[in-house]
Amino acid sequence: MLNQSLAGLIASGAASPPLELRVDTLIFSLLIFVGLLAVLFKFAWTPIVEGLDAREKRMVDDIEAARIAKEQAEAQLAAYQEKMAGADGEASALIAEAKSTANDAKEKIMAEAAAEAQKTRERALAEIEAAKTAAVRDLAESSVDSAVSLAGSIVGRSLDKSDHSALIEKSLKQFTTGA
Amino acid sequence: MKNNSLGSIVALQDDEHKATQESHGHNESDAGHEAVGHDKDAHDHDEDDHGHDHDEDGHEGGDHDHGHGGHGHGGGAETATADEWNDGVDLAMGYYLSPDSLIGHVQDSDHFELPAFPPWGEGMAKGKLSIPQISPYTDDSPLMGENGSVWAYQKNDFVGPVTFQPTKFVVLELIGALIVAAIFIPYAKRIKSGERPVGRFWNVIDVMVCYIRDEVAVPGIGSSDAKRFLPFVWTIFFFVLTLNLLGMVPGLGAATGSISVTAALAISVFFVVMATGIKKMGFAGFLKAQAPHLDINPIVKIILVPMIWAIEVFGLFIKHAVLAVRLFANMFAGHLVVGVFVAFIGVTWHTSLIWGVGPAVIVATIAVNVLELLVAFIQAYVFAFLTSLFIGAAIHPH
Repeated sequence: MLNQSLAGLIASGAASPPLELRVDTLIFSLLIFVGLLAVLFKFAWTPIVEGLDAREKRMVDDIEAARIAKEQAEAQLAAYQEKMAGADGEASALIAEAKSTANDAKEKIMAEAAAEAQKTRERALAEIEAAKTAAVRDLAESSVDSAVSLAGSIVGRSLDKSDHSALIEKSLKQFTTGA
Repeated sequence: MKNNSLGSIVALQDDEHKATQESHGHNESDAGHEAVGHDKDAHDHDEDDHGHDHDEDGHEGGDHDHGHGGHGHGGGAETATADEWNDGVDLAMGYYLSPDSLIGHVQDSDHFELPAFPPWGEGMAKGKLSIPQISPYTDDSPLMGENGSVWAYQKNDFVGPVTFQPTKFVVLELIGALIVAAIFIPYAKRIKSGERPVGRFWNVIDVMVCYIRDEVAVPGIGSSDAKRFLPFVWTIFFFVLTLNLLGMVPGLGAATGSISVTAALAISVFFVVMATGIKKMGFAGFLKAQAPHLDINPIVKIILVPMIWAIEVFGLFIKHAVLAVRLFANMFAGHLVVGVFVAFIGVTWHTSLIWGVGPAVIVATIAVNVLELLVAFIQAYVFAFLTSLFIGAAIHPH
């Protein structure tokens, strides 16, 4: 039974219509294929070829642009690194210069301050000396006046103006010399 | 029921077929043929080779009593007694799983198979979608196979020189062409506008388009000429692939499993190759280029060159014919193998072997279908690649 049915199947397959070349099916197939080719050529393949070409050109351009951008970036990086290296030296020089300037300024300010202090000290000493002199003069005058007044009252006579002045001068001289 | 064999069922159908032929008289007139609905195609009945099995069966009386469902009686579906139901199942198994019926699914026909329930009785008639015919036929002549069995009713005695009968494969080709157009016209708009192919489907299409261009057309034809022939190679590949894949859909069929279809494609390739060669070298130049240049003794050359030329010209035709046969044979053989496997179920239906054969057939059929899926892509690729090589050979002879 199995063999018989298989034999029937194989016999049928060997001589069945798939092996028969049907002219009408062939012509239909040709027409359908050519029609499909024509439709796709106009509405699909031509736009696809153009689109793929444009896409590939865009990709190539993008890659080229990226390569150029990379090169530019590398060049800029090198320039920046060079500048950075230069900037380090410049900064050191600036700092050194600033330190030097600051030292100069400091010394100048210190010198000016010292001079000013000396001047102030001298001025103060002069003022003290002047004040001392004035005070001694006032003291002498006052002492003479008192002594004259006392002597006049004791001697009973008064000194005239010239005597009075001579006496002051004399006393003053003795006072200043430390007598 | 155990003794009820496939042969008895097929013989039953043969009886029914004969009865139907008589009742409708379709051997005598076109009108009768139209009315019957073409149920007597190649997948129909073995008349004699299995017929002698049922003589000792003793069950056929019952089958005849309520099994006349082949052309519209439908008794099994209406009364649905257990016996009638079982008889209906037997009838359907014998009808659908007979070798001839299974071969009918592989080959071209004038109708599509549709699912119908129950698959016997009126279902047998309902399960077919006939394709409208353009040219009427004057006669249907049975083609006699081995052992006197009828394996097909060939439609001959055409009204015109060519019938132009639209068949299942022609309809499938139209469907395939529409599918290809429906995919690639939107894809073209997308690519033309500079959009990227987004999504798995469009990426697969994009990959295939670029693959055929870069790995098939350019290596075969040459980078300088490939662009001119790309539309042709693309159309060949995607049309063949679509037709192959349609063969994987139940109820349809592989149009590329018909030599008529593959011959049309091969003829297209042949004309493109010829036109390309003639345009490049002129008619005489193309013919002359078929013989390779030989640096040999002039006397030997006079003898050898014509022989080589004849072989090469013969080979030009042969290789295009083989192009058609290769695709047809691969697609037909794959479906035939599936048919053979399924036939095992019909053969062992009434034996206990069915419990082993049935699952094995299901597993084997799935495996073969997976293989067929691979073959569908490989054969489309091979066809397109050989097309490219032939065109390349015409442009760059020897």
